[in-house]
Amino acid sequence: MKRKCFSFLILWIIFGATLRAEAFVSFSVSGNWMKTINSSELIFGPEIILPSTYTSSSNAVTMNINANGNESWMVHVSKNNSIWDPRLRLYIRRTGNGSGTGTISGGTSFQEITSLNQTFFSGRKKYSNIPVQFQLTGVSLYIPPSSNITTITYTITEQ
Amino acid sequence: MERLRFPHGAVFVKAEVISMLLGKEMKMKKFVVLLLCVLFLVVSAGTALADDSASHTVTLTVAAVDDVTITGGNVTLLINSGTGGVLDDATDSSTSLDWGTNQTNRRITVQSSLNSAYTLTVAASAISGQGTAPGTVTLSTTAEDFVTGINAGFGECTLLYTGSADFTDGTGTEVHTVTYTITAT
Repeated sequence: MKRKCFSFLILWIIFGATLRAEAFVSFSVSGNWMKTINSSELIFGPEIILPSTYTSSSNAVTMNINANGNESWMVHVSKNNSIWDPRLRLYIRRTGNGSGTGTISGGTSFQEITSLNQTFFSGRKKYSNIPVQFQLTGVSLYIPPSSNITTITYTITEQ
Repeated sequence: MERLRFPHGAVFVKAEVISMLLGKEMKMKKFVVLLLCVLFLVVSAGTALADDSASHTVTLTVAAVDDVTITGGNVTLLINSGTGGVLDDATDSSTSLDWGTNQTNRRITVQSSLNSAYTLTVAASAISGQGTAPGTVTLSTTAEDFVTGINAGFGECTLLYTGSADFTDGTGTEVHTVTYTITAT
């Protein structure tokens, strides 16, 4: 009886570990956003200015979340600047749900992307083609000519 | 009989039960250590497998932007009177010049499409924003500095044109195309 209980305990642990390994959530991201600002963007009014805000297409980036079961997940976002003027601010939002049979919520209002990992949106089960849009603010003639590059990292965590 | 419970991943194992199962206290300690190690591995494996990440880039290219714009249209000057043996000057300040750049050390030059038989000058009055005006420029086909010391930002001024002539210059009409250019210092 003692040996059986002990064996059961070991099997439970091993079996439990196996279950955790199969509950695997992964995802992929496709697309980039490139924006060039030149003199064609100038606005002639009381002053000559550049628009301060630029918005990407509504599906500049699409995400696919692969959950092979009923898993709940949460997507986080952060950025790592290669060359980036500190006056520029980058925002992100989810413009649609994509395709899926589970639930998906949050992330539909623009939120600033910073170097800190922040919650973007969350959901449950598999989803594909989730459209993502960016917005850039802080542009002016005071931003010198240059290329500004930042890498955005998305992390998905099973809940 | 004591119960073994494993609610939500936590493990509650009473010492008495372990002692009963294994019989010896030493074995019980080894078992507890083994159990904790296995649980740690289980939790670690689950966490590592649950995370995934992907990244991409956002690239914003800001090109060199230089712009200078005239507001107000064409200007007509008419000299048709004299006072005390001197022809009166004709002036106009109905137009203005705006400029903007995202670069540093820029200047605006001005030049005419022809050299005048009379005298045509332009001055930047009420200048504001980026840049300073060196002074009144007599227009010719040679480009002259009109506004200097322009850095990133916006500036504007009123264009004050003055036409003058002597009695000996005779009569006539000239059509000047006046060009303002923003360029590097």
